[in-house]
Amino acid sequence: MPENMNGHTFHHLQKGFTLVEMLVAVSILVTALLPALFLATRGITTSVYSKNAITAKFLAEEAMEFVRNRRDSNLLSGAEWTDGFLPPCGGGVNANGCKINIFAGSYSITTGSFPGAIEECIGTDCDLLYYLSSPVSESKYGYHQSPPWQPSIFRRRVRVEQVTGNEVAVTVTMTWMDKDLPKKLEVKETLFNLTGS
Amino acid sequence: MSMEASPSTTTRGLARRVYARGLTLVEMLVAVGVFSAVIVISVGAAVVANDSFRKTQLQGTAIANVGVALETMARSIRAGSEYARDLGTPSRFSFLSEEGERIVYRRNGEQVEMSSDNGVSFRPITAPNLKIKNLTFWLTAGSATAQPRVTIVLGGVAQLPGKSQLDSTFDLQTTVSQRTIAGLGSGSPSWGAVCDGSPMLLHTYTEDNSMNSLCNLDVATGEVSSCRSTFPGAASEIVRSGGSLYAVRFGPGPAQSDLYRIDEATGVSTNVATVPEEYDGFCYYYHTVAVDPSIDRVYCSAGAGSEVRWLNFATGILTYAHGFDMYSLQYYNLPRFIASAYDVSGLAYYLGCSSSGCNYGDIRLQTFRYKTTPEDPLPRWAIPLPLIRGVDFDEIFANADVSNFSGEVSMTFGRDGFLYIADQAGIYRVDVEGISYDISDFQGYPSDYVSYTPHDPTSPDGISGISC
Repeated sequence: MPENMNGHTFHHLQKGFTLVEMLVAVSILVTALLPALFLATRGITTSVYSKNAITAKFLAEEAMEFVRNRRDSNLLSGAEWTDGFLPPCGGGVNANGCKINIFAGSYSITTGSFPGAIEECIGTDCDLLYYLSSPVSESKYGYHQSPPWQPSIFRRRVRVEQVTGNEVAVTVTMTWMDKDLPKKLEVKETLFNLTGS
Repeated sequence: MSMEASPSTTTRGLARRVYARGLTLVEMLVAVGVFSAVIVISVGAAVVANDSFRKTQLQGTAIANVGVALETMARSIRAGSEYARDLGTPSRFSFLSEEGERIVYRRNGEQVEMSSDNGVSFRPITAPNLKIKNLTFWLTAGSATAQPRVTIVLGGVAQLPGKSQLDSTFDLQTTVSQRTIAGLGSGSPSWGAVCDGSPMLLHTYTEDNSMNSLCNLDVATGEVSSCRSTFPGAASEIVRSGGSLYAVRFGPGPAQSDLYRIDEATGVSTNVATVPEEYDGFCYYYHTVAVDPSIDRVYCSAGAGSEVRWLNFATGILTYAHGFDMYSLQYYNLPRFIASAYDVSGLAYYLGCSSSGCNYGDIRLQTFRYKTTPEDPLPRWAIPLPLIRGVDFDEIFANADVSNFSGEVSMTFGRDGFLYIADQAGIYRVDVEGISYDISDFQGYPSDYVSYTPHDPTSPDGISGISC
């Protein structure tokens, strides 16, 4: 504690932070916190995107497998190997591509399955895939557009282009909205006529 | 900022206080307010960041885990064959892997499990924090004109214990088409003949059960010839095992079933075992007996139709083989089976009866295909085949026309790969590979075969068995 020559001690009046200083300090603090918050939010966004992307990837593979299944069935039945998917998925006939409706038709208890269908897309956008969530054991993606089916965020389009007489290129495009941001995933595969010469 | 006032000493020893100027109330309120706001924001941010981090981590791990699980299933299934879904439990699916193992996937509680030993033991393939709410296999069975495919739907929630607000749901779906195409290139067809070159055989009976006969049947012309007597009494279907023909004779006592070996050339039968009385009701009158060539055993369906037992040829002892999935049977209104046959792959075809009984003229039929082995005797792997003859179960509630088989029915696979079904009106050849599973009356079969000429073994009254 300082003393004067008379031995008196005295106090300086300590000057506090002004409101402005405080606001500046707080602003700096908040600014420092913002990136952390941003990163956390970004993490969630990325995680959600990742979930949607994986869902989309499996749905895309599904369409690809369905086309392949149709080709293999054609080979077994002796039909033209591209019957049922070229067209309507391409072949210069339909530029909009087609949609794969796995659960089209009525469920047959004798075959234990849905027949499924490949249908032409109307317009530039294929229909939204719908999702049935209840009952849980019946949940599935499909194209039934009436309740209890609810619209999902995904659209799926299949395009098939003939490369040669025994080769087609199949492209499945998944599009969806992630927090108002359009996302897209594309899977390409080449199918061959296994019995072709 | 300190408001503390320290005492000081003057030259006269008087204490004097110098007071620092304090904050005004307004300043203080503002300061406290700002401080609180900052603290609230900071702590809130920290909490949110922490939760976000954990949720991100959880979601990342969960979706990766679910993705790997589904990808693993899809990859192995598409490389496999003999797809089979349990009718009563569609969250259970089995197939034959490339390595020849019977792989099983199922949802058990809230986990997906896998078995590579035909369902004997399972191990989880999803993490414990994943609560699997749905695993459904939508199987489209293959045929001669359709490649099998299965759609897998997998849904659930990723959870952190005690943090329900962090729940993250997922709903995945994909479809798999079997890669192996039966019948193309060097691949072998899925189905084939059981018979090994011997002629088709009919086991027939007289109206008063005074004699059974063994006759040859030419499946090309329908000609029946060379009937030779076997034994008197009502009999089960004839079956071939280990190169010999067998049939179970029922009676004369109500609780007696004798197992006979039949000499194929002469028709002479030898009693080789007596089915113990405690097993009465199995292998009993018109209950089916069939050979599974893959394991060389005889199955007898139970009187109630819900159980199948193995029959030991040496001892006549019946051992419990499997019970049927009653859910499936009730669903199809088929509580009983009356005939069965196995193809070369060991898959069994059963013909079921309606709940109103299996009496003559009242048999409603549907085929199921089951895979059973001694190691896994439960007939879990049901592939419902399209209707052969009888009720169209798709229209069962619409009072569809019912066509019944006539009388007792037995069936076997011919060496041509067709399934032959014999009833008292004729023999039907069924193409189980055909998508329509058409059944057509066997052309050459004599229509007067069921006419009554009692006690004449060369002109019997009905068929108790068909084999080859």
